[in-house]
Amino acid sequence: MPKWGMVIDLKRCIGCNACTVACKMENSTPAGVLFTKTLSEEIGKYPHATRVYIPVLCNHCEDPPCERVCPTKATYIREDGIVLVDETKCIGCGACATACPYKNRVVLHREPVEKGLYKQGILTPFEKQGYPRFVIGTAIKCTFCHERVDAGLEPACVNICPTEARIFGDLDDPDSKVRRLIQERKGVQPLAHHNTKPKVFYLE
Amino acid sequence: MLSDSYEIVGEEFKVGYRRQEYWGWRIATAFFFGEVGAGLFLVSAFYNFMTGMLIGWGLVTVCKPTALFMHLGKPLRAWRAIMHLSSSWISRGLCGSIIFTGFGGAHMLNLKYHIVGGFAASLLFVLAMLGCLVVLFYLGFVLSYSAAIPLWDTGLMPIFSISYGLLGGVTLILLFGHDHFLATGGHTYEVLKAMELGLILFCGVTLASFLHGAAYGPSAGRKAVVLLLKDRFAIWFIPFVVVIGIVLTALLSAFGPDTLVVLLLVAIAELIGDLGVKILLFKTGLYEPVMAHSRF
Repeated sequence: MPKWGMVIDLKRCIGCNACTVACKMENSTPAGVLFTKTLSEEIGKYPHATRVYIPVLCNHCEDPPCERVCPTKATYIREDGIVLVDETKCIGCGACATACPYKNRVVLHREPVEKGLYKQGILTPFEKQGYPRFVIGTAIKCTFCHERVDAGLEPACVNICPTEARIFGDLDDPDSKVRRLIQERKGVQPLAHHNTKPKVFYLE
Repeated sequence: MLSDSYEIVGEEFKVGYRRQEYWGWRIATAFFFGEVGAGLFLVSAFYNFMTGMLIGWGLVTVCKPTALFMHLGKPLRAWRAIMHLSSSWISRGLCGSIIFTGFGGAHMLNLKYHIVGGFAASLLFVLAMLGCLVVLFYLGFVLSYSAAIPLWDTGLMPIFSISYGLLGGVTLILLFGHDHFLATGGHTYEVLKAMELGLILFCGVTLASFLHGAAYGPSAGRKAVVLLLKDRFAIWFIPFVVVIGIVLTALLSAFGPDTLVVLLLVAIAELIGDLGVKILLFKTGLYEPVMAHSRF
C-alpha cells in the first residue's frame, strides 16, 4: 500500500495560483472555500526585496490532531494515508478545524452554498453539479483528490502546475521522485514542532 | 521578534497569523452556562441547598445544550459525539454531562422524596459529583488539547475553568441562598463569603499567570496577549474582564454591605467577567504563520 505525499518546490513556484483554480474546478468548492491556495510573503526591503510563494493545503498528517479531537470519528485516515471526513458522521462541531495548526479545514455554512459564487441566490450549472457532493454544516477539506488518485491520476493541483512545483507520489517508495527530492534537498515539514508528521514537504 | 514582523491576515493570500473563527460566542455561552451551572450545583450539593442545585442543574441541562445545538452544524447527530472517548475531550465532556443530568437529577429527587438511602444514596451523590466535575473542567481540556492555538495550549486552562466555574457557583449561591444561610446562623454565609474572595483572588492570579505564560511562549501567543491588552480587544478585556469581573467583584464582595442588591451586583459583575473572558479567549485564538521567513 503506498503512502501518498506531496513535495512542493518553493524555488519553482511562481505564485500563479493555477493550483487554486484547478482545485476549485475539480472540487466545486463554494465561495470562500479553498482547499489549497498560494500564500505570498515579501522578504527584505528595496532594493533587496524578494517575494516567496508558499502553496498550502491539507498536509494529510500521519498523526493528525483533527482526527484525534473528532468526537464522532468522522475524520479518518485511509490505509494510503489520505485523511478524509465522513460527512454522514460529522456533527459540525468545528473541533477539527480548531485543532488543525495549518487552518486547512472549513465547516461549510449554508450561505455560500445557497447564494452561489455570484451571491445572488442563483447557481450556475457548474455549481449545480458540484454542490450536491457537500453536506451543509459539516467539515470539509482537501482530499488529495482521492477519486483521481484511486484512478491512477495525480491530484488536480499537481496536474495543473505549469512549473512542476508540486510533485505527488509514494513516500514509502525509495525510488519515487518525492522520496528522492526530500532526501536530496532536505525537505522540511510545515510547523514540524507540532509533531503532526505532515505528508507535505517543502523544498527551499 | 516573529510576532512583530507578521500581521494578522484574514482570507488574504499572505503569510501571517490567522484567527480562529470556528468557535465563537455560541460555544463560549454554552461553556459559560455549563461551568457556572456545575459550579453552583457542586457548592449547593455540599450544603444540601436545593434551590441552588436545581438552578445549576437547569443551567447545565437546558441552557448549555441549547447554546451548543445552536453552534453545531448538524445538531440532530449530536448523539454521535460519545463515540471517541479514547481521545476526544468533547466526547468525554458529553458523557460527563449525560451522567450529571441523570444522576444529578436523581440525587435531587432522592433528597426531596427520600427514595433510597444508605449506599445507594451515596452512590447517586458520588456519580452526580463526578459528572458535575467533568462538566466543570472539560472546556479547559478541550482548549488546552488544541496545541494549534498557542494561547490555549496551557495546563492552566482546566484550572481556569474550575476556578471561574466555582466562583460563579459561589456568587450565585450567596445570591439565591442569602436569606436561607443567614437564617441558619450565618456561619455558612461567612464561609461562603470568604470562599468567594479567595476564588476571586485565585481567578485573578490564574488569569495573570495565563497571560504571562502565553506572552513568553510561541509568537502567536504573544500576539494574542497584545490583542487582549493593547490592541483590538483591549477595550473589551480590560474594562469587562479585569475591572468589572475581577476588581469590582472583589471590592463589592470585600467592602459591600450584606444586602441582596450588593450580592446581585457582585453576581452580575462576576458573570460579566466570566462570559467576557470566555468569548475573548475564542476571539483571540491565533494560529502561527505556516512558515516563518527566517527559513529562507
